[in-house]
Amino acid sequence: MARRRRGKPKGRGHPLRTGSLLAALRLWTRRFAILAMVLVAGSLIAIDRIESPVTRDIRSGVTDLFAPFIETVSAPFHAAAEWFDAFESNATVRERNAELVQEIERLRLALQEMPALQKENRRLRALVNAGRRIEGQHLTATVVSDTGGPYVRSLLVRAGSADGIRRGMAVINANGFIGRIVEIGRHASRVLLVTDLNSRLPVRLEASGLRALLTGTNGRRMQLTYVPPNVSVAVGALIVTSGHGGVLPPGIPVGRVDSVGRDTILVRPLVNWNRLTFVRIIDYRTPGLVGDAPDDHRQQEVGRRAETP
Amino acid sequence: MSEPIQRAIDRAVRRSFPMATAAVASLAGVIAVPAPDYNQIAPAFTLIAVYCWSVWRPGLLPLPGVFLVGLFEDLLRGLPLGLTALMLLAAAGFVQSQRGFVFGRSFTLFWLVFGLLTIVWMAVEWLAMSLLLWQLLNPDAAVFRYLLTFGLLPVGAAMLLFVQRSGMQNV
Repeated sequence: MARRRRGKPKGRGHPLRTGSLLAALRLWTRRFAILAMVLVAGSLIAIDRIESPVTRDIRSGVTDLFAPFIETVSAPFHAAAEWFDAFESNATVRERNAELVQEIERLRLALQEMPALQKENRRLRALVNAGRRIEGQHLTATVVSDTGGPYVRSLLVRAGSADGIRRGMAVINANGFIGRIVEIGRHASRVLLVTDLNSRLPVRLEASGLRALLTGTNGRRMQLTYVPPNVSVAVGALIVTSGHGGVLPPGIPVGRVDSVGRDTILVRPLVNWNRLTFVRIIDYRTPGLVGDAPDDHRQQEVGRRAETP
Repeated sequence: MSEPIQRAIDRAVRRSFPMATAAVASLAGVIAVPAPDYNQIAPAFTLIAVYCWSVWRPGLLPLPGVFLVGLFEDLLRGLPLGLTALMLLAAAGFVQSQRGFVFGRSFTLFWLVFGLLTIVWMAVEWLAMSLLLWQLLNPDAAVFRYLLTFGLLPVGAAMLLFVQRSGMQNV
């Protein structure tokens, strides 16, 4: 200490004092920075809860930017899974082959009946003056990643606004309904799965036509709510989209009733979440609904023409 | 380019390794691994990176940087924006202030403290999400996620140690 005193330059503050002042200043700056970050985080959580377009745009931008990277890095994992899948036993391959032959036969028969059924359908619709049936435009997209962790059920798909994707569009695959587009980037979008806790889907029981709301639980099964009391629902009953509200196409299979309890009816989704590689995104809008721009009708017409064989 | 500038750039790049590895760890958490339900129990790689660097090189892992990495993870995973940022900030702040307890001690202690930190992390995440969604969420996936994160610390630490020894000796 004495040596330090001797070396003290004249005309300046005490080095120890200046040092401790600087240290205190640094400490307070650090504390202030931490407090500011905590406040910013709290504000962001609150803003995000009200689904601000600003946070949505930032989210979409980041997703868009990193989707190609995630896709590239995920590719070897997908390749490895396909490689393992190729090691099926001879018996399994024979079994699957027999199943596929049966399915082809069934589909051939259905295809033969189709022109007659279409004709009959047109005639009946004309009789009841039902108007033209609205078909949706389809787009196939690859699944980049399933993000979210234990509390959010979502997917990243490689299609965005540049491909004509809009919020709310239905996402399906060969088995049934997967979810809805909730965030859109230019070349990537986020899909909120039907099993997510925030998912609410208007559905109906295919057999009885009974309408209800399908709510996600974040688990493997979904819950059927708003079912009128004293209505019997059978285990195994098929649940399809009701098309209520005109946002989603009606009749897309979603799941089957898995268990019927006293207060809860649980539905198992038809989609195998662990084998999602490609999805189809449907552009479907009922003309005449509020917010339907003329351009959208034109786009729908283009889609319809594109689908016509 | 003169040698001092080159040296300064090289030093700056090496000093950014902790932040860069934490950001890469965030990306690693969203990679699609085609295993059943993997995405629900994917380990918290970012926590591993932040913990290791907070103990080994706290000076190279500034809290604002940790906060940004957390925001980046929230944006990538579709989580409530700011949640992971806040949690990572708290975790890094706590570990950096208490690092004397772990630094230079046995790896078992290092791992054990990480285990305790991860328990708190998972519990806070579950509680926060339950509050935000206003529903008591099923913690099963979080338990498996905890086990995976805890079990993978030695692997993550070995990888980060390799980065530290091969590229950050003199920074």
